[in-house]
Amino acid sequence: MTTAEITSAGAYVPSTAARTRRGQVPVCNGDEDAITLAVSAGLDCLSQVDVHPIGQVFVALGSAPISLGSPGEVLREALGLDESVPVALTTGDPLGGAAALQAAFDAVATGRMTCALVIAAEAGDSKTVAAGAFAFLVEGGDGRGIQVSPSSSVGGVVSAMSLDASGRPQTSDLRYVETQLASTLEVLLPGQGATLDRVVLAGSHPTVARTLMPDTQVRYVGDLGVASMLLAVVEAARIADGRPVSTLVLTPARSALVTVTSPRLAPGALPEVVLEGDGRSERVEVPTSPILSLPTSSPFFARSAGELLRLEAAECTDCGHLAFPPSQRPICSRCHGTSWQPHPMPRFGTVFTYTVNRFLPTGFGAEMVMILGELADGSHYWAPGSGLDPAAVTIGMPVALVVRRFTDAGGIPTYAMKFSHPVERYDEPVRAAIRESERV
Amino acid sequence: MGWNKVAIVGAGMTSFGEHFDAGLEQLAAEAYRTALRSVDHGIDAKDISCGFFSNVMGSLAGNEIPSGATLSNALGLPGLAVSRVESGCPSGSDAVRLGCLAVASGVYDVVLVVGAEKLRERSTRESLLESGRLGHPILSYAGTAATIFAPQAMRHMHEFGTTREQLAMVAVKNWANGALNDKAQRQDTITISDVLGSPLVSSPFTVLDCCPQSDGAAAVILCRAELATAFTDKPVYVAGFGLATEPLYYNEKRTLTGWESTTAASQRAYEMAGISAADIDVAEVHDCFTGTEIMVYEDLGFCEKGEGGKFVESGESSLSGRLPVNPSGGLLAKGHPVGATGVAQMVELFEQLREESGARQVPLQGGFGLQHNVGGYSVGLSVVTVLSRDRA
Repeated sequence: MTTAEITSAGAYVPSTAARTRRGQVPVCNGDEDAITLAVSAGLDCLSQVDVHPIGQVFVALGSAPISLGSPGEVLREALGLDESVPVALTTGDPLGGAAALQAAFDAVATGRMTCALVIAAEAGDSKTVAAGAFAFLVEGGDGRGIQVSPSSSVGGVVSAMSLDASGRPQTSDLRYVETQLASTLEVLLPGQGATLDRVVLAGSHPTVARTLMPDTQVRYVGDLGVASMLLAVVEAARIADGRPVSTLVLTPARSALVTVTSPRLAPGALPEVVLEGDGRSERVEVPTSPILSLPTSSPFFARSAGELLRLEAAECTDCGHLAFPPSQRPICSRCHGTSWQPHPMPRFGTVFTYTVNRFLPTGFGAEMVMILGELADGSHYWAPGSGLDPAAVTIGMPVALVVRRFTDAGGIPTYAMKFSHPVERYDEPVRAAIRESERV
Repeated sequence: MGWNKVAIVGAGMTSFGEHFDAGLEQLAAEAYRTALRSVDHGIDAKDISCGFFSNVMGSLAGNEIPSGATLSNALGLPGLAVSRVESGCPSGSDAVRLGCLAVASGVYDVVLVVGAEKLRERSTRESLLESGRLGHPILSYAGTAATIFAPQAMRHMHEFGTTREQLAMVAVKNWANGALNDKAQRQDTITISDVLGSPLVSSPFTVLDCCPQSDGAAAVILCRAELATAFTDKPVYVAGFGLATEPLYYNEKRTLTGWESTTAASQRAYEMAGISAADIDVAEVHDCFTGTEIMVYEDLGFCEKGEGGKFVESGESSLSGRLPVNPSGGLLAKGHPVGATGVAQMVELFEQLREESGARQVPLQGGFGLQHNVGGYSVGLSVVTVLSRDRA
C-alpha cells in the first residue's frame, strides 16, 4: 500500500455571471459547458507539473448535458492523454467529485496505478450553484502533498425538488430540506461538531451546519455542486499549515466529511478561486450555433481530433516543416516528404490580425471577432474569440487558445479551440509571453 | 515578344444587377448573343466547336452542381463540347485561360467562354451568408467573403498606416467610373463620408467597402491568332496569362498584407507577355472589397509594397491617372456575379484596347491591358491575364 497524495491542483471558474438577489453567481458563457470547464481545470492542473504517466481519469460532471457522443473521449483528447487512458465518467451524483477523489486515492494507494487525474466540473444552475471545475493529480506521496482521509457520509431519501417555470429543478420546500439536513448532520458530525477544530464548509444550506457548530471556526467557501468537495479540499489545504482541517460538504441528499492534511505549500501551488463578488460580466457568446458544415457523426471529426482538440501540427521528420491541419496535408510542401510526427503547438500568443464581423449567418449571433493569433513558436492559428470584448481586441494583445463548444445544434456538441484571455497561472512561458507583448 | 497565339474576336455582356425576371440560362444566352453580334465580320454559331462555362452557384442558387450541359442547353447547342469551370472568384478568367489552351492546342479552332451567375435567386442575406456554412466546419467557421478579406486590410493598416479614408477612396473612384457605365449595377456617385458612415460589415469594411450581390453574364469568343482577321480587323490578343494557387487556410498563409497567388500569377503573365507592370495602360482588378484593390496594386507591381493607400490617394489609378484601374466601375460598382466577373473584365479590356469605351476610354500607349482576379474559397488562387492590342 502506498500513501496517496494530491501533488498538483488546478481550477477554472468562468468569467461570466448571472445576477441573483444577493449579487452574482458564476455561469457558463454561451460556448462553455461541463466538458469545457473540465478541460480548462485539467489543463491548469497538468500545467503545474512535468509529464506524469496518468493511469486513469476520474471525472464527475454535474447535470448531464450530453446523452450522445463520447464526452469522456473528447475530454481525454483535449487533455492530450494517450488513447489507452480510460476515463471513468459519472453525471448526476451530487457528491460525484468526492466519489471521484476517493476512487483515485484508492487506485493509487492500492498500487493499481502510480498517477490518477481527478476532475469535477459543475455547470451550475444560475441561481445558487456556481459554475466551475477543479482538477487534482493524485500520486504516491512523500508527505509534501495534500492528504485526504477516507470520507464518512450520511444520506437520506429527500425529494424536495420540483421544476420551475423554465423546467429547471428547484427546492420546493426549504424548511423540509433544512430539517432533513440537520438530522443528517447530527448523525455525521462527531459530538455535534464540538470536537472539530477548524471546518471548511461547502455546498448548500450552510446555515444549517453553522447552527450545529456554534463554537467552531467555520469557513464557508460556496456551492460548486458536484465540485464542492474539491473546492473545499483546496481551501482546507490553503489554511492547513501542517495541522488537519475538517472538510464538510452538504447536499440535501447526502453530506460528507473528510479530514485534509497538508504542509504549508509554496505560493501559487493552489489555484486562487473566487466565486463571490461583482467582477464578472454577463454572458457574451451565443449558447449554440447552427449545425456545422458536416454532421458530428462524420468520420471527419475523428480524423481531426488530433488537430482540433490536441492542437497537434505534423512535423516533417525529414526537414522539420510544420503542417497544419495534418489530416489535410499528406505531403510536405517544403521537401515533398511523407514522414510525419505529432507536434503540439503552444496555446498562447498574441493577436496578429483580426476582424469583427457584424454580418453573420442566421444563428451565429450579432457579432463575432475572428482572430489570427501568432503563437509563441511563430506559427499562426485562426479561431473565433471567446469571452473577449470585440471592441477591445488589438493587434499585439496577448491571447491563449482554449477548448470551447462550437455548437450542439442537432444534439451532439462539437469542441475545438477559440482565443480567450490568457491564464497567468500557466507555466512561465505564458507569463513571459504576456510580459513580452506588454513591452511592445 | 508576347505569346499572342490566341485572339479575342468578340465580346459581350448583360448589364449586372438584380435581374429578377431572368434566370441563369436567359442571362447566359443574352451575353452569348451580344458577343456574337459584336464580331465585326459576323460569325456562324456552327463555327464554335468548344465552350467553357464559368459558374459557381448553378441555376438553383447552390442547389445543383452544374456541368457544361447547363450552358450548351441554355444556348441551343446541346451537343457542344463544354466544360464547366469552378475556381471561385477567378472562375471566369480561369475559363478564358482554359479556352486559350484549348485553341492553342489546335484541337478546337473557335472557342466560346461564357461566365454567368444568378446570386439574386435568394435574399441578399441568404446568398451572402450561405458561405458561412461552407468549408471546414471549424477552420472556416462562420466564414463569409468579408471575413476572408478583412483581416488582411486590418493588418495592412497596422503595418503600413493605410487609412480608412484611403480604403474609401477606392470605392469613390470605382463608383465614379461605374456612373459612366450603363452596364454597371450601381449608377450613382458617392463620397468618402458616405463610405465611412455606412454600417460596419466586418472590420474595417463597411457596406460601401463591399461589392454587391449581382446577377449577370459575359461572353468572349476566342480563336487562333492566324484566323482572327476573318472575324475582325481589330482582334485583341492574349499576350500572357498566369494562374497560381497559394497556401489555403489562414494559419498557412505566408503573407497577410496581400496574396502571394496574385504576385505569382502576375509574374507568370508578365513573363509570358514579355512585359513588366510599367507597360500596363489599363487594368481591371478584383476589388471585391476596397482594401483588396489597395493590396493588389502592390501584388501586381503597380507600386511598392505598403504604398497602395498612397497610390489611390494620389489619383494615379483614377480614370485620368497614370494607370487607370477598374475603368468599368470594378466589382464594387459594376457588380460581381461571380462566374461572370473575370469574363466581364475581358469584355471591358477588349473594348478599351479597341478604343470603343467612350466616356471611359483610357489613353493607350503600348496597348497592354491587365485583368486580375483573386479568390476561391478561403482565397486559394489568382488568375492574371495580359491582353495586347498588337500581335507583335
